[in-house]
Amino acid sequence: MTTHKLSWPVLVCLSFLLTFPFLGTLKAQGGELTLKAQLIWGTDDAKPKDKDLKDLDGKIKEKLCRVFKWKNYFQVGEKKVELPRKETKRVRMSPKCEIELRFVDDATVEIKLFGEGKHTGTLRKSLKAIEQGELCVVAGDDKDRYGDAWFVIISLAKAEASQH
Amino acid sequence: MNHETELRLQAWLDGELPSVEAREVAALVERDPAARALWEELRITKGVLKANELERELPATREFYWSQIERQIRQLEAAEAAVPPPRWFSAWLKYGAPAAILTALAVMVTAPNLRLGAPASVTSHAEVDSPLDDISFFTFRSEAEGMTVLWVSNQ
Amino acid sequence: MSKKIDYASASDEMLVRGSQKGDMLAFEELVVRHRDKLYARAFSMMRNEDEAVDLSQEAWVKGWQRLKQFQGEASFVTWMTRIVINLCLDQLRKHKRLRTDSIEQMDDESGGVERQMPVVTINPSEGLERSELRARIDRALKQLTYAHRTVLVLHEFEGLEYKEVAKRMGCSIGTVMSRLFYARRRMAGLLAGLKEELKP
Repeated sequence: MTTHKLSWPVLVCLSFLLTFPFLGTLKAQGGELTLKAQLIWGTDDAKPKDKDLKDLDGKIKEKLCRVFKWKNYFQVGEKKVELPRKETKRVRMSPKCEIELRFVDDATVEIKLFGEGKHTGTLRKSLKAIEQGELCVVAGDDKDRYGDAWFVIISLAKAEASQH
Repeated sequence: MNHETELRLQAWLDGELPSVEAREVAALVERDPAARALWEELRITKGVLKANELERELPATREFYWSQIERQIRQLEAAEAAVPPPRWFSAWLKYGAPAAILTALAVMVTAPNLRLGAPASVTSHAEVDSPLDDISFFTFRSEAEGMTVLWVSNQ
Repeated sequence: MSKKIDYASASDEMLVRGSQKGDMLAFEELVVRHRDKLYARAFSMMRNEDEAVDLSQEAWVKGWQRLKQFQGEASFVTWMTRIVINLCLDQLRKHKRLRTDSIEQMDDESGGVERQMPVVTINPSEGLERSELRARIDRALKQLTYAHRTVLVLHEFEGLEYKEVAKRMGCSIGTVMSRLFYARRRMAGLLAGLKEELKP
């Protein structure tokens, strides 16, 4: 790995450029929260040609590689969710997988997972953690493919995405 | 005897019935000759099959069979070793990493409204739950990766 | 494991440990020891020699890749057998061989066909040499559909419970029970019929 020196002014400018989107997201604290839900397939097999799969964002893939045992992670689907304070949003990730998102209170977000229509699990996480970039992951073994796994990752969507 | 009863008979034979139902089926077999005859047929068939699977020899020589396996393993390992890190990754290391560090510092300095606090007090709390008896779960958090995981599995 | 080790005399546990450290010779010995069993399991499901050879080889390659995941919770050969079973199931699903046609499926669910089959009262194994009986059973298995044969293989030969069979085949427990029932009754009929043919 080679290192490259940048001048301090360039670095400071870059820092501010990277900071503004983050501050913009925080301003959404009082209103809607824009989340990203990703359905991911974890496998040791190579990417099949006949399936409509996307390569995963590098950062998240690296995190998954460091935490879990599979060699490859492919994105099966992605949804953006605008979550108002007083509503419950249900999102269909696949024919067999749905998630339900809501604010339990001002400081806590609840994620419910439904597998084939049945409520399978619930995860609650502090809003602050999510806003700081914490990933909420609900996962399990793929019952159709031995040795593989599925992951539903809920994270904060980038501020520019909330304008869509 | 309806089909459901026939399947319960089979499930009793296979040890898949709860004890209350098993007693009911046992009583049925005792009093009903047709049920007993069917149960006997299933029992004999099960016994005959279990002990008499045909043994087979691989129709290939040791050397040939193994050479193909070894070749596939070597090919996979060579393919894994040959994949270079993507260019964007190197670029990220060069430019993004220093900028990301400074971003964090900049946020702390320029956003007085932010009360980050200690990460553990904000991010370590996560409640989990599963309502189904045949689902087990465990949860963990990776501090390093900023990730909370709820793993569900069918029992 | 050094080259001085007598691989042929080493236990499976030792060979697995050596393989996990990258000793290809140790892994080769495991392949030699268990190749027939793995091939036989693949053949029992696929009923095709070439496919069974290919899938069993693929299972060995996958076994090598996943060796570090093997913690000794079951025997090594059981672990490998599960891998080859899943590869076979994937292949059967890929070629849609696990689907029964609609008439057969309706019969499965309603028990229609079995009602027409008289209960077999003789023991088909009586009077037969073991090797002959095994050959007869194998020929009878060949006459079942993939779906019925797979249920029988997984439950009777692999000893999997209904729930586990259902999970691996991607169907309900009720479907497993119906298919198993049909398969058993059909086997009873086929074996009794074959025994009748043997009578002078």
